[in-house]
Amino acid sequence: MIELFSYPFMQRALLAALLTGLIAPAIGTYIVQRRLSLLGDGLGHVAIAGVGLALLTGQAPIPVAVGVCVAGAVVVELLRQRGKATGDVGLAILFYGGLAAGVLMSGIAGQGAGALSQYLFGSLTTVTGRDLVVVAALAVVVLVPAIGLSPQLFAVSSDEEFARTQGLRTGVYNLLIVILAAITVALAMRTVGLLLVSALMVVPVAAAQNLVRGFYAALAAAIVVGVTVSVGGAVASFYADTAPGALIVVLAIGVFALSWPISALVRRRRNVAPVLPEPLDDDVELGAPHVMTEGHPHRHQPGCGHRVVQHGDHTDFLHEGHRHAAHADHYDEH
Amino acid sequence: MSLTAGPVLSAADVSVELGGLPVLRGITVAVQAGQAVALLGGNGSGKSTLVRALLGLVPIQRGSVELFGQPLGSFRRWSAIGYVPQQSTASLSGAKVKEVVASGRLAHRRPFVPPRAADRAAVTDALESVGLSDRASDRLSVLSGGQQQRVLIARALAGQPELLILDEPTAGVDLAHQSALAEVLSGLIHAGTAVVVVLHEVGALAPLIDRAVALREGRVAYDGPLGALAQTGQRAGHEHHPDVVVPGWLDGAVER
Repeated sequence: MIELFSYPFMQRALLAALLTGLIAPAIGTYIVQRRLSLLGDGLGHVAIAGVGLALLTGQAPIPVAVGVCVAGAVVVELLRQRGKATGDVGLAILFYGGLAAGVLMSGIAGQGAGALSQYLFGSLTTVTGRDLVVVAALAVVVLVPAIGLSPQLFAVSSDEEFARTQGLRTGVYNLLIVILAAITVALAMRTVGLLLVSALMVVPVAAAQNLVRGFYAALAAAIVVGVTVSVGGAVASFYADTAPGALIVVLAIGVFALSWPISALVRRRRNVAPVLPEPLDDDVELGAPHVMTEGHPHRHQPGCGHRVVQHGDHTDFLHEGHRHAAHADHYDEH
Repeated sequence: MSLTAGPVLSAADVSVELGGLPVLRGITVAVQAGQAVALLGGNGSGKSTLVRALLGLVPIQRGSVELFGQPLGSFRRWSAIGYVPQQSTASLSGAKVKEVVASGRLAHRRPFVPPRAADRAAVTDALESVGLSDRASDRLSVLSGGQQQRVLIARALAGQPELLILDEPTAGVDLAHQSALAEVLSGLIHAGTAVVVVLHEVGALAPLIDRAVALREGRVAYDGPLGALAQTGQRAGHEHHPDVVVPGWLDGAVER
């Protein structure tokens, strides 16, 4: 394990994975809230055109991809805000046009589609020192608004009309969300890759929403999950000798799968007390209804398998959605 | 705390088209500080569209809207406005109740600045006034429909508005909670808040309302005391008597 950190390329790769794991779920939280979970995937396709352009012109791929991806994101969002992209056809043309242009340009550059694959699924060995500087600088650019403006971005992405009545410039905030997403997608191409980055924006958020309550808690938990699976996936891919993107995404989906039973357990424990809502004060004078059941073959007792609730001076047994209390020779419904 | 003596809200000759169909046709209406106005009308009469137009949420084809004496386009003092939309909490469902209510303070806050003590106190007070203090840390999605509606009301109250606009706040809320809402609103009205409330049924809010504006086919069909509206035979919120037409409703406005 230690020798892993002695390789300079591995140090750079792990740092890049850490930063990607930090920013992808942070901006992904707002993307999921706006129900644009597949936006990242589309932007990944646009970024491929950026990589193709960089190969063709001999530039460093990350800055060119960031530029192309941001431009594509702005076009998509402005079309949406003007109400011209209600159909997904325009988006599809833009996204697949990006993929086709990327493959075409890298072909013309004499590199073929094979040269693209390291950007599609990530590649640990290709993170250069200069890449890392760009990734770190732009990660700060993404994280500062994603966390500092979280109340505003939450309001805009969850209830846009109400946000407008709070005087928020929703058009500007929506543009900010897609621009930050575009930067994130382009930065992620060295670690998870352009085709899988969307998973890192969406899956940790989905897992976090299962695990914790509340928007801000889910934002924090999503970042923790994102960092864990990114770094974990990068380390594992070193040993498995595979593209890191695939392992990162498989790990993320594993966390999501585990979050289901965990959330069910947590929820069951929380739900013990408020099984039935207490009646409104106005109804109290009516008294609790006293319902006679038709025979009750089962005799409730401690340890009989039904959940137990302490209710004033006696014990109720939870039973098919209602509470039973032994009362003389019969059971009261509560 | 409004220093302007004029109306807090005034609309002149407002017309709105949605999808090429006229929804509002020349609405003229003004609301003074401390006034409680019920906006009544049947389904499709344009009452929701009117409040959305007054808030700048739907574009206006003709006419003008002023909030606190400022034209809508240049109005910036959104902290004075509280808005309770028709129930639509689907995309808020993962958030905690207090997080939703806190977003009602955004007009008072600056970007990148954490909430101050006053912001937190306003959220606590707003939750208390709708009787949901004990649910502050629950997910919105585990609350009942009526409770979610009260959360949206608390969100508007958190901004301590001078003009509160509610779009059918009593839909799906039982009578006991309607009365609780009436109590909250009456406190605000006495403190000088103007309240505009879209209603399908006047219900428990009737004692508060000092003026009713009834819309019909996008025009103001009645503007006057709630009691007189009932006497014309036009039951609030219903259109069972199309032959009973309040004089002047074709003008689009009844000047007071």
